[in-house]
Amino acid sequence: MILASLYGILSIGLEITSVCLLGNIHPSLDHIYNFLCLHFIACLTAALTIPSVLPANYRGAHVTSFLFIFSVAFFIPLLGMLGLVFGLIPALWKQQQSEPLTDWLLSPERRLPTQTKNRTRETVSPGQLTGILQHAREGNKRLQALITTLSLETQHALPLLRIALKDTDDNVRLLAFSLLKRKENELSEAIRESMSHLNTDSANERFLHHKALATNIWELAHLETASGPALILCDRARTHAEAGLQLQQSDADLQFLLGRILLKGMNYDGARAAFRRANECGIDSRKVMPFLAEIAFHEQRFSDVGSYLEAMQFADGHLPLNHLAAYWNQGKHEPA
Amino acid sequence: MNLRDSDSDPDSETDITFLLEGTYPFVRGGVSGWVHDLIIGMPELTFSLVYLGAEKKPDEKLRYELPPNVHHLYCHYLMDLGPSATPKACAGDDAYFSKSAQLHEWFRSPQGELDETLFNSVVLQSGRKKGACTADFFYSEAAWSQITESYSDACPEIPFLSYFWAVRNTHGPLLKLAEIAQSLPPSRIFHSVSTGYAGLLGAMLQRRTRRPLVLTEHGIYTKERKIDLQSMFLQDRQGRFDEASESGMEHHEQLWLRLFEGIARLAYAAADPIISLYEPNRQRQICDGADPARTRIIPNGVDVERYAPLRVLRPQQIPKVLGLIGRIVPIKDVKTFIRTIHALTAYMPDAEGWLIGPEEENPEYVIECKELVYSLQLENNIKFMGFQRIEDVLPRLGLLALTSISEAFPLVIGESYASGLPVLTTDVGACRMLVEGSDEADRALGSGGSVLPISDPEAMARAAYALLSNPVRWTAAQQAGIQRVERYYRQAQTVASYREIYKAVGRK
Repeated sequence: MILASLYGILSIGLEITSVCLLGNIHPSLDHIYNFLCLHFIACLTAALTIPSVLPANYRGAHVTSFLFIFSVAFFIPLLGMLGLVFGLIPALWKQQQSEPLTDWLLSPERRLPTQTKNRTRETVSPGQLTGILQHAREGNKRLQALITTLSLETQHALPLLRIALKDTDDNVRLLAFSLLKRKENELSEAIRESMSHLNTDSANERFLHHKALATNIWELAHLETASGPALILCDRARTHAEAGLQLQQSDADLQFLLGRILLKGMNYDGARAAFRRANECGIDSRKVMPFLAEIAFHEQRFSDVGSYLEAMQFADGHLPLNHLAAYWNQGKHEPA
Repeated sequence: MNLRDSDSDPDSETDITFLLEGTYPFVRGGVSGWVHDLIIGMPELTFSLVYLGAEKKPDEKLRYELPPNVHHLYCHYLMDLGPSATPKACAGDDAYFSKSAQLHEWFRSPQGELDETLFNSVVLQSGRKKGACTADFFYSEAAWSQITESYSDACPEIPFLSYFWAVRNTHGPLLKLAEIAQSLPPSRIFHSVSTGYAGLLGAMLQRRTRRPLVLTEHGIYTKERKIDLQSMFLQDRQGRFDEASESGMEHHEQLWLRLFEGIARLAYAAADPIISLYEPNRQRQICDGADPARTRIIPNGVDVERYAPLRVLRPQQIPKVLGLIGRIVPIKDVKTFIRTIHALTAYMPDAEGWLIGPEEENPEYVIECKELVYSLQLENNIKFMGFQRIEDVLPRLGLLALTSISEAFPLVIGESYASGLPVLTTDVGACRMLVEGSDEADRALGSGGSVLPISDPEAMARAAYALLSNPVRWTAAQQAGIQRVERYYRQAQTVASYREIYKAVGRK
């Protein structure tokens, strides 16, 4: 700061000296030349010095500051320099002296949410919605139940939409139809998109597209209202699942999906093998057990059904499908 | 755009002016056919047509040859608000917007009929210069105040832009209708074929000219719009914990619902009589605000003499062909028809399904249907025939199949009966009544086919097989259908009913 001040004084001194050289009534060429040289040096010194004494937030743009200060000082001899030193610098510093911080004000409660809402209404379960759709007398109640299915996962919403599709009330029926159609359109669009990218050179991308196709076509099969077309779609899904697994055999999700597809097509040996591979690749065995139990049931190996279901027990002893497991583990179950 | 018959005096009063929204004479379908038949059936009366569309389409053309007793055709497009003038700042008419606020309050919670002075000043815009209301609404400070106040009161949590455009798009057509109502020439009677914008125009004309308004509803316009709006606005809410409104829609989306419900009430208040095609629809009209004393039922009728000669053209053996005669649109659930054919081919490999109807209304849906045909490998069994003369196809069909998700009173069932063709239909609208009979005497005639659940292709395939493979049963259904249509659903009865109505209201 001291150095800057000295340079500042120097530049002012040079500026005054240069102007004095023009004091003669008839200045000579030498005078003018000397004036220009001294004036130039003074402006240069000022342009290099002044930015360093400005407040911190005005020191950033070096080039712009330099050009501005130099231009003002050079093209407005003496007055420009004096204005910069005795006008601009104090003004900028004065601005920095902020008003004393006010005390914190307690503001009124804002309209924006600042807390989580208290959920006084219980979440409605798919079972409750099924009851409403099947038994409620008022069409408006059934319509409301249908709108509530928008909060559910597709796997839970779908059976409810199918029930609503057969409702006697036009409003309910038409809304269920349009919601189902929307799901179908979304899946069909995704399938078209994946199909269009299937010819990519990248093996990894091809795998991802096959996996997406298998998944979406499998979901589309669930939307089907007739068994024939559903089986055709399952077959397409199987083709894509197998194609994907040829590119990446260790994908547990895809193995698991293949198992479900083959189970739907009653290929029990294939399904069992796919579920086992899925388990080896990392799928939790408890996720696989219900399907192995189903296969055992179809193959009439009833004694195995209970053991598969019991193997689903969690570490805390909680047993999903416990009623089912209890039934199959009580006594012998023989084929009829 | 106004097309006028150059030979007739544009200021001469016609007997009946039909108010038609998105239908005759530019769109083919049941309602259009009904209007056309009614006009032909009353050659002694003169008609004008006022067609209301959204926007003029480049491929728009007349789908019907206008009968000679149609003297005028006026076409108006409600989304075409005219050349946009340079916005000019203006204060606006505070008194008008104050009344407008009262009207909006009535729309929100309607109590009784709307005050007539409110209707005249706000809806009809009586006493105001042409275009003044439009300019006020779009540019004035008073309008802006009203919009911003409503927004702050009703739904400050949604984006203002969404609310603003919902308000603008709902009100624009109404302002246009007011201008149309001021410009139409006189008519002895106005006859609207729906509520909605056509019904509101009818209410405006009834108030302005004091001429009677007759209202016939084939479907229920408000219900159909509600379904359209719900399918557009309802969003999946998985994982979201906000409390959705009961309708599942945001406030500005419900503006549309309230608009259509409100203008339906205005149409019902102005119309006498209010006609529907069958009892459940009449009940629906009463629920939506129609005065029960003004409602009546006039079922659709069929020109039996036109179709009866087709009976002798039928082949000896029943053709193994199911026909779906109608527009290829989602509400007809054409995909269930295709799946039905797929299921039927398991019992009858040579069975065919013909899709007979215009395909231009929803080209994406047509593509989906064709993709489904391809994926089910039914290219040899299913034919997309496009629009055909119904007389050419009816004798070649073995059954008419109607797989619709929703219908009112499908004329095609009557036409099939008259030509000697049994039907399979879903249990929607008046279909069960048409197939099985309405009263004891009607039911005694027997069943004209089968009624099946919606979206159940396997059930429909079984019913089709049961009829096509059993000539005795098929013939019994054929005879029941012929007797039913000849006794209860002749077009002459429908035309005579409307002639009586026109005479009665014309005298008032």
